[in-house]
Amino acid sequence: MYSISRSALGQADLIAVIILIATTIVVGVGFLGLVYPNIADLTYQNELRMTLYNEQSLLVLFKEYENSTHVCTGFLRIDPGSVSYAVVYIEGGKVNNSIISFPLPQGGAQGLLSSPRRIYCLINGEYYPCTEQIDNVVYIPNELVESYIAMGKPGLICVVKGNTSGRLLFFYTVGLDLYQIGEVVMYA
Amino acid sequence: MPRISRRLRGQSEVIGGLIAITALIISMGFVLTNLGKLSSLSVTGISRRTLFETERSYELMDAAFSENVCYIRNTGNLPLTIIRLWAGNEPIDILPNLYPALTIQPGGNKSIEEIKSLLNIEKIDYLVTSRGNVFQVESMCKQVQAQYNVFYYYYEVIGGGFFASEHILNSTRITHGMEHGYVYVDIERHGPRAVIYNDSNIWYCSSMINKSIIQTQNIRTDADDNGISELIITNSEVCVVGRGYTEWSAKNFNGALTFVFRDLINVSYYPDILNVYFKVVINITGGGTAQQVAVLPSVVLYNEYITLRTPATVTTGGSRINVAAIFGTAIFPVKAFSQELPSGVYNLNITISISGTSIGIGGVRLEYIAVVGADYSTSWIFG
Repeated sequence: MYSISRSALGQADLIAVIILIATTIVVGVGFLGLVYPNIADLTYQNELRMTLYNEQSLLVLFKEYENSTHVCTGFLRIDPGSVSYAVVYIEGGKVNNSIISFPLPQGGAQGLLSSPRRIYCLINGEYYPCTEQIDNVVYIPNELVESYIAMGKPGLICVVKGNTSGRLLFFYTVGLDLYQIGEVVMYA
Repeated sequence: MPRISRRLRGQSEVIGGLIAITALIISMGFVLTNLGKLSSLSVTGISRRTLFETERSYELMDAAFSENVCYIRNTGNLPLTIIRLWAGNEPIDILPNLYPALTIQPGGNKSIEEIKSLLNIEKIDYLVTSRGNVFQVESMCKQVQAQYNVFYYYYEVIGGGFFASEHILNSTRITHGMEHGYVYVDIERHGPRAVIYNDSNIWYCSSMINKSIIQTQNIRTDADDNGISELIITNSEVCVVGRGYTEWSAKNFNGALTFVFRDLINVSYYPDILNVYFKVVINITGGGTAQQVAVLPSVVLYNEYITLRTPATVTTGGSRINVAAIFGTAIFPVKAFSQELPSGVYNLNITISISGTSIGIGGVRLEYIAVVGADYSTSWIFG
């Protein structure tokens, strides 16, 4: 009969388990390496969506003033911060940013025209490329951002009344892309 | 055959299992932490917005009038800070160093004159608060001015727009004949009725047919005891000098009364919106068990070219037993009608429909009307 020393007892099982775990780790890392880019993209999309929902929640829009020639909307970020929004005015299905003005700070400020790379609109709670042809947007002036949005005060944006009603869309910047986070209907 | 001690059996499986479970828990914890961070971001935003909107809805303001000065009062339960106001068509921004001076604590008030003086401006149309609420201060002040100011001199109001019932009928208007404005009441199933009222101890009468100064009447002029005389509906169709009048009343009344103001409203520009404020006092008779009564007012603004009709919202407040005070507001969003209201003289009808389980009416009186956005007819004065 053969005899096995006590020190050798169970060693085979332990070695088998270690090999098993090592194999699992190697296979797992290899699998992660294959799927990581997709997971990273999914994670990014999820993070982006959550950020945009958060920005939608923080932006408050309200109709502030109207006379025979102008309609003015107040906009307020609940959580003060130096966030620069972009706005687009769509009238009768067409973009008409030339009638947008910023009366404050006193004396008025000029918005900056820009052409974004990609622009996404909110349709039924999801983001899609905008159906309207939006070639340029107007950025809220820095003076307004620093004196109002960053201070938790409502800013002011006015449009000239036309013959048809229009919509004022607010966008949030992510890199070079714009995502819609608010909309107010301005009746002409 | 090799023998393995019982004490050493299964050790490797246990060790392997512990390692695997530990690795699993660590990886699950990592994933859950990331997920939790993402979802809390959006939940935080939603809860902040909910809190903000709740605070915004609790921000309330109303106006009060005292000694010819209009005060704005914070009737909410949160401090209210004015950060911007509109005067004419201009937004006037308020600097942060003035915020403490323009913060009204719950229950506190501030006069419009004080605000104008602080900012060195002449008028205020709207106030904007830090939570984005907009209050139409000018309209609010005019409304309370109509309600409380017995001695209001409407002739001196620039861009006028309102008159108290105290001044609906006065000697200047009465003497200018039928081509100028007049007032009467049309009662369903009863027909048109003359109205009488007392102004500075002179009694006046106006009907669909004629107008005149009449002799002193033995009728209580203030049904709700607030110090303001009311316009009284009579049982007569015409005004007769030297006659004693009785107040119109009815048992088991279900129907409509219309206060007709003919050629009394002058629109001299193109308003986007007209507001009509009025107060009617109803004397209910009969006693017995409590009756359920519905009061449905509507207001019509019209002339030979255009007619605008709108329902009115009402609030009720009783001043003494059997007397119901009805406060009504009617809004004509002229711009929303997609038509302009041309300049000219207009008529105004306020119809009060009373329905219920056959109540007795001791009298229906008009205490005031205020028309903001239009002006009283100048034909009253210069015709």
